[in-house]
Amino acid sequence: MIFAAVNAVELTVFIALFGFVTVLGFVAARWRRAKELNNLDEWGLGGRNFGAWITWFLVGGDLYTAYTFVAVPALLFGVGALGFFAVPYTIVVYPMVFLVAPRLWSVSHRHGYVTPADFIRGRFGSGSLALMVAITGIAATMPYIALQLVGIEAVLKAMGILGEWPIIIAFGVLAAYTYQSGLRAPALIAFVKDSLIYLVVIVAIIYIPTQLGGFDDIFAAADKKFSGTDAPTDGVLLGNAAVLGYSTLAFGSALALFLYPHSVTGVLAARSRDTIKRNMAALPAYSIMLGLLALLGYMAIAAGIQPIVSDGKPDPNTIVPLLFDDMFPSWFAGIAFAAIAIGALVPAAIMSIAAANLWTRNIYKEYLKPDATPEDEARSSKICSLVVKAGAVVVILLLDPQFSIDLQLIGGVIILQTLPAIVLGLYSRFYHAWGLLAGWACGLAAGLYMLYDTPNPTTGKTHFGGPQYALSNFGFDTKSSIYTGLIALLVNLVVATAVTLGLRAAKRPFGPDETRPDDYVAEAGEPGVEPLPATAEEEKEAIRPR
Amino acid sequence: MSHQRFVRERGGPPGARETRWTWLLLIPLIGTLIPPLYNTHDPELFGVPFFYWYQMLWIPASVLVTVIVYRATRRGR
Repeated sequence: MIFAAVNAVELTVFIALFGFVTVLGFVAARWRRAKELNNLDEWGLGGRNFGAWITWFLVGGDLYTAYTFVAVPALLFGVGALGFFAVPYTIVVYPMVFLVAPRLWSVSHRHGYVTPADFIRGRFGSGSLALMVAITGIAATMPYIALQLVGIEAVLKAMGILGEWPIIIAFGVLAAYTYQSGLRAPALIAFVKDSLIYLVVIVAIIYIPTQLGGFDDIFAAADKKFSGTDAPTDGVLLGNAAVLGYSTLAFGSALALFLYPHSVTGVLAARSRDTIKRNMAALPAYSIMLGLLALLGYMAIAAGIQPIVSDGKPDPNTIVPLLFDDMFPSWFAGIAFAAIAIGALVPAAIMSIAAANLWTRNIYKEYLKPDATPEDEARSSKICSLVVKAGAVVVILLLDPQFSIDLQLIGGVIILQTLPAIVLGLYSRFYHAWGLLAGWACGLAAGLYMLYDTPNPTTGKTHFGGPQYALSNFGFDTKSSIYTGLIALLVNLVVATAVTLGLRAAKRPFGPDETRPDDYVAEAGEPGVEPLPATAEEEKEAIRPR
Repeated sequence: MSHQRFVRERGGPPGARETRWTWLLLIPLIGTLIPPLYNTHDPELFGVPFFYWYQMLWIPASVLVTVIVYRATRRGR
């Protein structure tokens, strides 16, 4: 029964491509190999030596996940224009990160920081604040890893493969080569992932509209669907009530994106400050792909796709795979499905490495084994990366996938609460560690309460209904809502500032700061930023300013 | 030799001239985060409503802005 309606050609292409990246994952251990592999700089940051191209693929593969590819079109399919927030979100993120990420890179290279919590430890001299950042990072990343499984699951469902074992196999293989190769595995696989995704998106955006009578008909079909509902926030354009929610969601999500530990891992693996800056100019190429992909949601409406119903609930995440299945010949559908599934592996690997590094550096070494050697650290991270992935599989298989989606919603709001410590910390020592801790706690509590207090009439949920909090809750006479994370961040900043001012007035001592102002602008090759041995291959792809 | 090219030729933190250039990075935020600017159906482009192609157009525009700021603030030039 498992293979009820499986297409042999589709499945063969899928398995062949999946097998190919598995081999790549194991071979990656030998790629750009260093003398010493048993430390976190090598396993967890790929030797801190990735040039412009590798960083582009790695960070792109990291941020634009399989879940994004499946969920963004599903959002447009469901609510229309509101789902397009992903485009302004990924436009505004890079100019902001262009300013901040190079400072984090420089100070991390001067002081050997592997995680954002390492930086907090050094900057504020506070173990508790670093622990807060580490735990927040791990808590926000775990559901994100589980969501990658949701992406794979959607593809498998559309291919007609049911049951739990394919996901267990996929993640088992992923866990094995991540254990062996560390960050080099996703870096190498990202090349394949993105080439496939670009290929599929370009073909889809040209071919599918010709089958559906052009964009005129596609948007007309979407318009007809949304006019038929009585929800005020759906439509091909934004309703008045949705405008504020749209821009705050885009802005808040952009603020949160580079606070995620896996984004920081991608940034710190770059070989130079210049590499990061160049990437912030080049990464929007992925946003073009994302924008085109988003429109697949409307194409699915025009093509009359109905989401697969499982356990009595329609699963909108299946619409993109179903659209591909419907429109493409089976061999190309196989490629498209493989692209999405491989697209889940790259971020899942980086996320598990980032979570493992946080565990090792900021909990294991800080509290459990202060005398850990670099070998101990690498071993601890490797084992932790296995535990994290096993945890994600268990969560997805035992609990309702909706639970992970809720958790990821919460994850975005709580990771934003580390912004005052990390981002403001990169610029100033104004804040006191206790102030930041108090702000974090209040922002977290406010955020969780607001999320809990958000119903969703469309899905019939009474709690955790979405990332927007209605302004009417604060007594405003409006139907508008604001991204919950931003309100929580505001609470956080107010408390952090107030407590800091109080502590300053009371002349409470600040923790020692081991960083100096020029640490934040240091470039590779400067004193204290250790030049790494370059191989001939790296020389070729290294950037040469002219 | 291979890492020589990364060495800063002029020392010191970014100066006032660099800071002025970074204000340009606000332009993509203003262009995309105020939906009333573009929340209309017309003019269409190849059947795509203004709302969608306007925002897509900001992708290359933001790249351009970032490249300008990158070049203007690059050190050792």
